[in-house]
Amino acid sequence: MAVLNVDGVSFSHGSRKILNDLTFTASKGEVVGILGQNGSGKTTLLNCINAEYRPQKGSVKLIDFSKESADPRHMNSGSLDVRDMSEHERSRILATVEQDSHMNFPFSVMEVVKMGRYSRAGMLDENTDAETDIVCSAMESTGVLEFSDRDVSELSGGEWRRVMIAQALAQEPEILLLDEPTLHLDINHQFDLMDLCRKIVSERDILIVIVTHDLQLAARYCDRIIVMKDGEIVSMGTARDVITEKMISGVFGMRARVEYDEEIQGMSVFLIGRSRCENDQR
Amino acid sequence: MQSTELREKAVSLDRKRRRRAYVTVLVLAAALAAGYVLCISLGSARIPVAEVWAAFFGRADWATEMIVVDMRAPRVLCAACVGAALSVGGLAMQAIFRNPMASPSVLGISSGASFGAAFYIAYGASVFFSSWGTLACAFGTAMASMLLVYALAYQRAGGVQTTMLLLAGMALSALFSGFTSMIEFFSDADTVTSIVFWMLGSFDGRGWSDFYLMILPLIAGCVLIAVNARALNLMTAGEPKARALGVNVKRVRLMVLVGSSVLVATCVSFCGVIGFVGLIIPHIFRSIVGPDHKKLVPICILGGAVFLMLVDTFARSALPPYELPVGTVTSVIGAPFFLWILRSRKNEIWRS
Repeated sequence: MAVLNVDGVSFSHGSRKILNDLTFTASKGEVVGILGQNGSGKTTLLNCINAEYRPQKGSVKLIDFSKESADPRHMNSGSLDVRDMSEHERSRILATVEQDSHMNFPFSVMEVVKMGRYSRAGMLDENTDAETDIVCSAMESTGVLEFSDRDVSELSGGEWRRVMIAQALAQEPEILLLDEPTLHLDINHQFDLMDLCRKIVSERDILIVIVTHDLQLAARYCDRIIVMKDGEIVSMGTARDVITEKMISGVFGMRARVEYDEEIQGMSVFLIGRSRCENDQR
Repeated sequence: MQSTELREKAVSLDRKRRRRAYVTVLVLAAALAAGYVLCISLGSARIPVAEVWAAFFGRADWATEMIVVDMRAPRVLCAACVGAALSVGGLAMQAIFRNPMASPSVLGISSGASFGAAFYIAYGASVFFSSWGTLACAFGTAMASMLLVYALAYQRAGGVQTTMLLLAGMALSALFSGFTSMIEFFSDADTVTSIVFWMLGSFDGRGWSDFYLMILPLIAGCVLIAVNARALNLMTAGEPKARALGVNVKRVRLMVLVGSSVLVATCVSFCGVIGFVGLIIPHIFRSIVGPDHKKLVPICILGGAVFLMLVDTFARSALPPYELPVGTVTSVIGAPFFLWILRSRKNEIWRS
C-alpha cells in the first residue's frame, strides 16, 4: 500500500537546478533513508514533500491516508496533492522535524510539545486527560519527560532535538519526515533515536522518511535507501542492495568496507579513507 | 512505576503554571476594579471613595457628580482601554515578528499615525470636520506604515529579519516625522500648538462620547488577536514551523496585523502618542507567567489597563495645577523602568 508518491519532481532556485526529475514511492510501515552529501538536494526534497516549496515540475501525492485526518471535502479522494491540502489537514498527516529550528520565547518543554496538538485538539479541550496522556506519551518516548518544565531556551542541542521529535509525535502523523535527526546527538542518543524510529514504525504503522548523511546509521536502520547526488537519484532499494563499496566510493568519495553483520542484523559500514585522493592526484 | 510518577510530576508542574496565570488574572481584575474607583477619587480635587460611590448612584451633590460621572469616570475608563489596547497590540506584534523589541513606536506606526493626524489637523479639519476624521487619517497612515515595514523586512527565506525590521521601522519613523515637521513648518502657530499637544499624548478632556467611539474598534482589535492566541504561540517558532503544525499562517498574520493596527491607530488617534506601554507590559507579564499567549492576552488586557490608569492619575495629580501629558510620563517612567527590568531579569525574559 503506497502512502507517499513523489512523481517527477524538479525544483530550481533561480537559475540553479536543485532537484531533477525525482520519482519514488514509499509505504507505511517502513523507514526510508534519503542519503547524500551536503548540497545534494536532500533537504529541498523534504521541503517539496511537506509543501514548503512548490516544485516547478511534478507532484507529491499522498495516497490511502486515513480518512479521519482528511478534510471533509477530501474524504472520498484516493490520492491528494500536498499542495491542495490546507495546513490544518496536512499537519494531521505529515509531521516534519527540521534540521535547525529554535524558539525565541522561553516556553516550557511541555508547552512546546503541546503545540503539536494544535490541529488535533481545540483550544478548550487542550488540557483534558486524553490530551495530556498523548502529550506525556510523546515526551516519554523521546526521554524528555524528566525535564518537562524546563525552559526550552536552556536546552542543549540534543535535548532540543528530542523535544522537537516529541512534538512531531504528538501530531500523530502518518508520515514523519526527519531532517538529519541525529545531528548534534551523542552516540547513545543517536542509537536511542533510531531504535525509537523503528519502534514507532512497527507500533503505529507509519512511514518515516529520514534525510541523513550518516552512512552507518542509514545502512543499519533504514528498510529502504534512496541515494541522491547533485539533485538526482543515483540508487534506490534495500540497504543490502544499495549500500555497497562501489556506491560509497562513487557518491561519497570514500573507501569503505561493507558487510552484513549477524549481530546487528544489518549492514555495517567501516570507512577507511578518502578514495578520490588516489584518483584525483594532480 | 517511575514513569507514572514522572508523568504526574510533569502534569502537576504544568498545572502549576496555569494556576499562576489564573491567580494573576484574579489579582489584576481586583486591582482594576479597586484602581478604577481610586483613580476617580484622586486628582486636583480629592473626592473621598465613599462620595465617588454615592455619585455613581446619584446621591452626591451636583458638583461632585459632575466631576465623578461626567469627567473622571470616562477619562479613567479611556485610559484603561488605551492601556489594554496598547499592551495587547504590542504583545501580538512581538509574537508575529518573533522579536521582543517590536512595538508600535519602534516600528514607526506611531509616527505614521502622527503624520496622518497632523495632516488632518492642518488641512483636513477645515474641509470636513469630524472626530472620525483624525481617526480615519491616523488609522490609514498607521496601517500603511505597518505594511511597509513588514514588506521591507520580509525575506522569502527565514521570514522577517530582525535587523531589517528595526532599521525599516526607524527609517519610516524618520520619514513620517519629517513629513510631520514639514506640515508644522507650513502651518500657523495655533495649528502647530494643537499638533504638538496632540502628539504629547493626553487623556485631557476625554469624555463618554470618546469612549463610545473608541470602544468598538478596540474590542474588534482585541478579538482579532485573542482568537489567534494559540496560533501566536506557534508563530513564535517561525512561519514554516507554524505552517507544518497546521497554522494557516497567512490568515493569522493578516488578522493579527490588522487587529494590532486597529488597536494602535485607534489609541493614537484618540489620545496621541503614548510610548512604551506596548513594550513593557508584555515583558513584565511574560516574566511572571511565561510566554503562553493564551494566558498573556487576558493578562495584558488587565495589566495594561491598570498600568495606564495609574500612570494617567499620577500624570494629572503629581504637579498641580499642571496636568502632565501622559505620553511624557510613560516615557520618563517607562524607559528607566524598562531598562531596570532588562538589567535585573534579563535571563528570565529573553534569550535568542
